[in-house]
Formats: sequence, structure tokens, C-alpha cells
Amino acid sequence: MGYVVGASVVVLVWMTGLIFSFSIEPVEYSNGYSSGLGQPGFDWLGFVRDIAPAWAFGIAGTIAWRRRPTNRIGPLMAIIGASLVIWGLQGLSIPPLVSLGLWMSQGPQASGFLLGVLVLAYPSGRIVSRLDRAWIALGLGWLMIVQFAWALATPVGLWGCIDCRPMIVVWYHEGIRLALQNLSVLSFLALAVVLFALLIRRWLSANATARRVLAPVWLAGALVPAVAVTRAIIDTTSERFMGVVRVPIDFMGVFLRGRVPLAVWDALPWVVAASLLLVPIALLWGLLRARLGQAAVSILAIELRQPGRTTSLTESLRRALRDSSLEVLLWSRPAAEYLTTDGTPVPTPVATPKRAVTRLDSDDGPLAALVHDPFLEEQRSLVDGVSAVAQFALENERLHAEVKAQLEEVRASRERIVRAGDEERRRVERNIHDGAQQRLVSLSLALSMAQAKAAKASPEVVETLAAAEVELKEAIGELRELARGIHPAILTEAGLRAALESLAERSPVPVTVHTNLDGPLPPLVEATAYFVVAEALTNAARHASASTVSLTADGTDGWLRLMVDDDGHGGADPARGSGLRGLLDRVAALGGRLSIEPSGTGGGTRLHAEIPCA
Amino acid sequence: MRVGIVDDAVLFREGLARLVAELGFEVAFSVGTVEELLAAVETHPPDAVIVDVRLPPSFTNEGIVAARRIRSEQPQVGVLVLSQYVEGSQAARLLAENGRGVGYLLKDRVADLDTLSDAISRIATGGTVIDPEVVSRLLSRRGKRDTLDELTPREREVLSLMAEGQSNTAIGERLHIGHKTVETHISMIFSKLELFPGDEVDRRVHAVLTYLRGN
Repeated sequence: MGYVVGASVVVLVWMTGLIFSFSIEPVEYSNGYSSGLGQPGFDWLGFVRDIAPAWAFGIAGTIAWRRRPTNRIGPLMAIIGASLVIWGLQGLSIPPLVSLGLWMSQGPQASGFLLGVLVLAYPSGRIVSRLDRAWIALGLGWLMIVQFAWALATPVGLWGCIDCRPMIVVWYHEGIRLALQNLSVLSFLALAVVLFALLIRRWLSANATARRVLAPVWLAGALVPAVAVTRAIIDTTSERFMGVVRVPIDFMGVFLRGRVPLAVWDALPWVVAASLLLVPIALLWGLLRARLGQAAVSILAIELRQPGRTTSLTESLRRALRDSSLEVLLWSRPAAEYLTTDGTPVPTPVATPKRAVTRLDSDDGPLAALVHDPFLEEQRSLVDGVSAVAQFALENERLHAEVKAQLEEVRASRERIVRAGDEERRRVERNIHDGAQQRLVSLSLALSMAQAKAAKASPEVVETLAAAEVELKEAIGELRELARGIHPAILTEAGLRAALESLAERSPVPVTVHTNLDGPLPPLVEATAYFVVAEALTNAARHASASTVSLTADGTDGWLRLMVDDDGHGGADPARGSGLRGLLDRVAALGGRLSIEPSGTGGGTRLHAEIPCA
Repeated sequence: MRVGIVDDAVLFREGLARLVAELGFEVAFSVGTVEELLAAVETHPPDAVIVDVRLPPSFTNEGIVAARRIRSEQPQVGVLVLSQYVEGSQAARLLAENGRGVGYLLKDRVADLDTLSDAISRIATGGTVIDPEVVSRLLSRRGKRDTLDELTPREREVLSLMAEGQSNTAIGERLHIGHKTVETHISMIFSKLELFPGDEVDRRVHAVLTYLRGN
């Protein structure tokens, strides 16, 4: 790569000197610089205008190569710089070099093709798309066959210089020469149109980040062929095109010449030069952005050290790497999988044409993965710098994500335990209902029957049976209360609202109930709400000596909100009462909150519970 | 009187059928599912059916749903709902949804032959039966004590029986007092509680239950 850059610079220097030296000799050339240096009327402006774009490419290419030695963009720019002045060779009057100069420079210049390659290869320096490769193959074909043939068939070099004989004029014939020239111009036009199409296609499929970076380069890259083509048309309208081809091009030239003021005509070379200058400047600007990126690494380092950092690590990394689509995935060692920053497990990221993946490792194994725009692959050193700076923060974040994932796992397992317990309670209650309760009630029926039958025979037996029946009823009643404590049948029979009303009915303290419930909630939520309210009412009556309780249940917005207010003397403390403690755990297991605080009015207690229903 | 029975527990169902027969009713059918019940009621409606709250398939409130359906499609059939648990809210809903001809009793209450016989007769003739436990629980709540304290002990007894769905005559027999005395007590109760429920027994029950449950 270095050789290419070096050779290009040598060519640049040599050609500049050469062109300058033609310009100072009193010449027979009918060129733009009509008189030499030191002579009146030397066209300094014209000279600088023609040389400046070449030097801009040369310098920018050298800088780009120095900064990114592996990227071919730098050498390519240097070659373009050399190709822009290679026409100067014609001034040496050595036939092969004159031919070379002619071949590379005259008419639609070779540098136009090279510019196309540059634009297609930016920013990676690689040509990936098959369409792009096809375009380059076609362009090479044009340069190597059409343009070369034309150069060989052209007897006169630049400026109409008589001495500047090209190398071989094997097939010289004015008709052939003109035909080749027309073919060359038209193929170049076609290549330019296809290039536009490729650029538009790439622009449409690019994401915002890539567009932002590529925009100026593409703009300049598109401008150059446009202007060069216009100029080529104008230059060649003085020559004679053949047949059908002649008509539109001639017409356009004549039309333009007639309409466009002379000043605009004279300005055209300046427009070409200015737009050519834009390309290396845009690329230099791209390099400066990369340097800003280095500054971003330092800013990131400072930002990450600030103790009260409010922006998330992801946000900071996005800013430093200028990729708003960047995602941070953190490696969880216990689970051996990647987690998002909120601890959700995700599959191991895989690089795709649209998303690149940068894996970061610490000494102890994988640390994190950044999923980002493939464009950042070109900013390898920036990504590496940012990753190095963020290492500790990432390690920290990784541990956070691990803890979050474990917490989530613990929460889920707590919920499973509560759910399993709840299902077990239902099962036990159902077994009591269908088993012992049914049998005891049936037994009491049999006892009644026996009493009826024995009534005539033996009063003593009746008495004994009656006593047994009283016992049995007690037993049935006790069993009923036991079963209700295990799981309230009313919940499944009639829903939460009826169950809360039932609690209110049973409460020795009068309870006013306000419910706002749309249909059934998940059974686990309903059961939890029931036990919470039951405990609150028991506490209000037993410990707080309340005289009234107000109960509100609202379950309309995806949460069940319970509020139990009493006017007792307070003193409920979850830390002491195991009942409340258990309920606190139960509500938390469902992802809800339970709080007990003094109520607003006269020292009572307010129990407040929120349980998510999702 | 023809009585139908539905309960998924065979032991209980057969025991109840024998008891009902012993009490002098005709057992029209004794089945285990709601489908069989509805089919039997459709083909040859009995005077009353005894329904368990929890029935297959979900064992939640199939009995209540079946009761509502029978009461709306065959209003001449009384429905006695049995449950292992009795709740004021369920009683109030049964009354609100079905009006008359319904009863709501604790399951083990049927072992009391007089209660069972009385309940079947009452619902078969369009009366209302509410389990005494529901009433006593509502009466024992502290909140209503201020107003209820104004009632005399005798008036409280009358109020309980009224809430259970007893007619004036039955209240008089139960408390060994005359018909006129019962009426006097009732009008005193209503004026003290500021209730104006009308003469129909089921409306009276509904009004009293609503008052006792009232928030």
C-alpha cells in the first residue's frame, strides 16, 4: 500500500513540475496557459485550478493511508490524485508516454472511473456487492479496450502539439478515430448513469448512521461524474459525431451553447475543479470525525467515572460511537448466556449484513457483546478504545444484569411456590368438601333416619342418637371452618367481590365495602387479596379495637388495589405479626406491594396493597 | 308433592332421597349432574328440586346457575339450594335473581327432619327459605346494633324468623303467640327500622336481608 501511495506522490510532484515547465516555456501549444511564468499574462489561477484537486487527493490519500494503513481508500485516493495530472506526460514528446497520457486523460478521463470506484468502495475500501463488482469490471473494460484503442488511433496529443506524437498510430483514420471517440464518450455516459443508480440503491438501503457518514462523500462523488460528463459533451460537440448518435449530443451542445451565457461556460472548469476538490475534503472531514471519536473516548472515560451518573451505559456508548442503534448485551456467567441490561436472557447474537457484533472479553472470560451498525467495523480502533474505557463499567453492568436476572428468577420461583401452595390449599379444601364433609353430612342424615325409626320403639335410643347428632353437627361445623380457612369456597363459587362481602359479613367490626371489579381476576390474585383483607379485618377487630372499617377494592387497570382503613389505635407491625409478615411475602411474590401505615384520621391503621393482575 | 334431587355424591343423594320419602314426599328423580336435572325437570316438572351448589363439571357454582335457569323457565318449580357454606351475599343474589320459590340452606340442615319438610313445602308453594345461620350472623354484627338495640328481645326473634322466610302464621306458632300479636311486632319492627317492604313474604325477606347486610 505504501508503495502505491509513494509512487502516486512521486507522479504528482513530477507532473506538477512538468506542467509548470510547459507553462513557462514560450510555446507553440494552444493550451490554457498562454504564456509562461514571469511573462505577462501567465494564467496562475488556471494552473492552480488544474493542479489543486490532484494535490488535494494526494494529500488526503496520504493522510488516510497513514491513519488506516489497512484500508485501501487512502491509496485509491492517491492514485486518483496522480491520474488527474498524468496528462502532463504528453508534454515530454516521448511517444509511449504521450500515448499513456492521452489514454489516461483525454476526454472522459480515467480518473472519472477511479472516482466511481472510490465512491463504491467507501468507507470500507472493499467492494462487496456483486453489482458494484460488475460496474468496476465494465469500467475496466471501457478503460482497457475502448479508451485504449482510441488513444492508439489518435495522432495528435494534447493542445494540438505537433511534437507530442503518440506512440503508435497504427489504424489512423479520421473516421475510425471519431467512431472510437463517440463510443468512448457514450460508454462513459452509460457507466455514469449506472453508477448513479448504484448510489441511489445504496442510499435507499442504508440506515441513518451510514447515511450521515456517507452523505458528503456521495454528494461530491455524484457531482464529479455529472460535471465531467457535461464537460465531455461540450468538448466533443466541436468534433463530429457519427450517424444517429450525433443528433442528440450535437443538439444538446448547440442548444446549450446558444442559451447559456459565456460566463457560465467559462465557469465550467471551475465547477469541475471545485467539485473534484470536494471529494478529498469530504474524506478528510470523515477522518476528522474519527478523531472526534477519539475525543469521545476521553469524554466517555470521564462520564463513566462520575459517581452520580444518570445516563445509562448503553446511552453513553451510543453517544461515543455515534450509533443510536447500538445494544449492549452482557454475559452472565452463572447462566452462561447473554442478558440485556435489564437482565432478560437473549440468544447469543450473530452478525448479519445489517448488524455487526463485537465481542468483548475480560481476563476471566466473556464480558459483553456490542450489537451495532456494520459501519462501525471501519472504526475498529474507536470501538476498541471505547470498549477498553468501558471495561469496568461493563463488568459492573454485567454483575448488575446477573443480579437482576437472578432476582427475576427468585421472584418467579417465589411466585411458583405461592402458586403451588395455593393449588395445594384448593386441593385440600376440595378433598375435605368431597370427602369428609359429604360423609359426615350423609352420616347425619342416617342418624336422623335412625331417630325417626326408633321414635316408636325406644325413647332412650332416640336420646342417644340425638346426642350423637349434636356432636356430629359440631364436628361438621368445625370442619367447615377449618376448610374455609384453608381455601374460601366462596371465591370459586361467586368471585372476589362476594368473598370480600362475606368477610365483611363475618367481621365483628362493621365494614363498609366499595368494590370496582370488572369480572374475574387471576385465581392467585383473588386468593391473595382475600387473605390480605381477612388478616386486616382480624387485626382491626382483635388488636386495634376498631369500631368501623372501610374496605376498597379496585381492579380495573391491570392492578388490584386494596385499601383497608380502620379507626382503631393502630399498632400493626409486620415485623412482629407473622400473619402480616407472611402476607407481605405473598404479595411481594406476585410482584405487588403491601404497606401498613397510620391512616389519616385519628390514629387508625391503613393497609394498602397493590397486586399486578397480568 | 314430587321432589327432585341433584347431588354428585351418591351416598348423600341416596340418604337424602330416603329421608325425603320418609317425610311423605314423592321422590321424582335423584341424579348427579345438571344435564340430567334439566332434562328431568323439562319432561315432568316436579314441585320442588333440591340442588347442591357445587356440581360437575367445574364444581364452582353450577347449582346456582341451574337454579336460576329452572326458576326462569319453569316458575312453578321451587328450588332449594344446598351448600356446605352459606353466605349472605349468595342469599341476597339468589333472592334478587329469582324472587320467590327459592331456598338457601346449609347442607347439614337437611338432617333436621322438621326443617327439611318445612323448607320443601314452603318453596314448593312459592315461599322463601333462608338459612338461620345467615340471619344470625347478620344480626350479630356490631354495626347495626344502634338501631337493632331499639328492638325488644321478642321483636328480634320475630325479625330473625321473618328474615328466614317464615310466614306470619309460622312465626306465631313458633313463638306461641297470636296472629295479631305477630302483626303488631312486625309493624313495630318496620317502623323502628324505617322499612316499608309490603306484604309479600319474599319481598319482606329481601328487604330485611338488604337492611341487615346494608353498608
